[in-house]
Amino acid sequence: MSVEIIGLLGFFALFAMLGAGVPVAMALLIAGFGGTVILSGWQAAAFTLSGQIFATATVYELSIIPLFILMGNLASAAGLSRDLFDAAYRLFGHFRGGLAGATIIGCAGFSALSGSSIASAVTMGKVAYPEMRRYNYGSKLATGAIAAGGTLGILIPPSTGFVIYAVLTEESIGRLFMAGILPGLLLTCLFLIAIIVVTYLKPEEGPAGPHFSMQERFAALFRAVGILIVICITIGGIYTGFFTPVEAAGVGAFFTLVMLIIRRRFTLPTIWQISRETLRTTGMAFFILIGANVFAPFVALSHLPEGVASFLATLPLGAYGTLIVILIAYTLLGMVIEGLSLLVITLPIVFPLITGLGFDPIWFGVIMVIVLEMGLISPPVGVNVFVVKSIVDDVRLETIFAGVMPFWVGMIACIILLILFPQIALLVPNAMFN
Amino acid sequence: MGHAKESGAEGRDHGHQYPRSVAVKWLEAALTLIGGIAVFAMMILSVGDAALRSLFNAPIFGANDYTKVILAFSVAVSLPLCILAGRAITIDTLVRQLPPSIGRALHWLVSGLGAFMLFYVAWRCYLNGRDAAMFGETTMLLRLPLGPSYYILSVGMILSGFLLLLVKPAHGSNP
Repeated sequence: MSVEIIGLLGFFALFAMLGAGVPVAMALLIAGFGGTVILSGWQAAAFTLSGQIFATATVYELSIIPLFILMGNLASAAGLSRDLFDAAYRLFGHFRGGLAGATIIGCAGFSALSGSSIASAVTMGKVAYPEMRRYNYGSKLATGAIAAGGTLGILIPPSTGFVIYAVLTEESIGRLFMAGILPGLLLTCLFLIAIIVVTYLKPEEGPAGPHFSMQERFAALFRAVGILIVICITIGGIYTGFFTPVEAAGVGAFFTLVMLIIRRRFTLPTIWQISRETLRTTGMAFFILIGANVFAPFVALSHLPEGVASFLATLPLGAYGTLIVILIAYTLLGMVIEGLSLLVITLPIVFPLITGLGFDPIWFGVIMVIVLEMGLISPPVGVNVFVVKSIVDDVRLETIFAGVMPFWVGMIACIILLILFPQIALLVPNAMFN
Repeated sequence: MGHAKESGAEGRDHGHQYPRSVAVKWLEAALTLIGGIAVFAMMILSVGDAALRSLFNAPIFGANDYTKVILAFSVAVSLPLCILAGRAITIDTLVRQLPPSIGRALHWLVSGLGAFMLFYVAWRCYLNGRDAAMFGETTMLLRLPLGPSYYILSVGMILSGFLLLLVKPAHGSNP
């Protein structure tokens, strides 16, 4: 039996286990270990297993994950998300669809403090949804804006998605973070356009909110200044090279902790809750990473990436045709496989293929993260939709899925723009590192 | 409708009952305490190193080595906490379509398989830790021993395996 066939059988076993409900990390561990045993023998597989696990748990760069998760949880506990929403609400709430727009802007701002889309959706959802209901917003637009806005969490730096992509592909975390800035802002604008279109077609979905005086607007903006300072320190520090992305995570968490103290919300129960939440999410990310790092060597040993590349080279698709096939496959797979899992399962095959076609790995990282975002709101496994459902009891799941569709189209538009104009992603990292 | 089980920041489960005995509560508290101290220590170390290096050109010697060791402890305690909170990502789209009896049987089979893998990983980490201690493997700069990091990961894996076995499918529903 050829090694490629063993590789394919490994994938088959992996998907069978996933279908049977085996946790993704365990399925990756079992398939990766079992496949390596067949290809290289028990002894080599056993060394790979423990070696990869130890390597994953002691990579200095990965300390960024718990620290940015800590930062997001501290920001949430300090009430920074409410301040962001309030500022955007007072500035734009009086427009048609303005509250939904404020939710998107609030999510984008909170995304610069948190690397998790789920945290962004939960935090902003709790703040924004009651306000939107109060002003008779349609359930579709209200929930869709929260679920879609939350996905900005993994595109706008800091982003857990970028960290995991960087670790799996040995790319620079700093470059990827910088590459996410402009596409993140672009996607935010596209989401706002989606809201304008929806409320133009159905004005009843997003009626205009109340007017606020200039004094009230400035007061709200002043409260949000602290958050902007933390964001500027974190992102600006990376951009200027004042500190590394890993240090930026620590610095950002520290300043957010200072804000928690200034706002007199620093209590032992709060810190306990923040620690527990940070560790739980950290465990989730590391379980997946550990599984991925055991599975990836098996894929490499099977020579499957080379086999797939050779097969695609025989098709008359060209580089962009192949890219489009890959993106369509990801979009479809993202509907049935959770995004992060999809990333770690497929990257060992897709990444060599993409770089072999001459595409920029940083640019592709941004595209991948947007595809993951689409998966987060695509039926039937759109995690963000389920997260929103968990905080919005009075809306049916189908309504939320319908509500995210305009934003889903916005994501497609963003990918098309990035393919047409790769500089959107590459301008900032090139300016920084060149 | 099926979905990927990943509970989000609320820590809600989706059809599973997670163990909440006194022993488990104490275990969770102990892990949270250790992990919380570790994560905040990493934060302070990171800030201190960046500030001292950038402002006084005097970075903390071996800060990366300390971070690596603390990270290993953080990861080791975070894994069982993740299992306990029901955060291990599972794609249960197909399983939820099955009749409850078959779903429950499959749940125990899957949990057993996952736990067996985690126990084997723990065993391998223990063996590597023993070798690291025997051969005096250390970090690059500070020469901190690697053995304890392997051992704590081994403990984390064992606890995760046991907790995975303790998770029960909710009565009358699919896991």
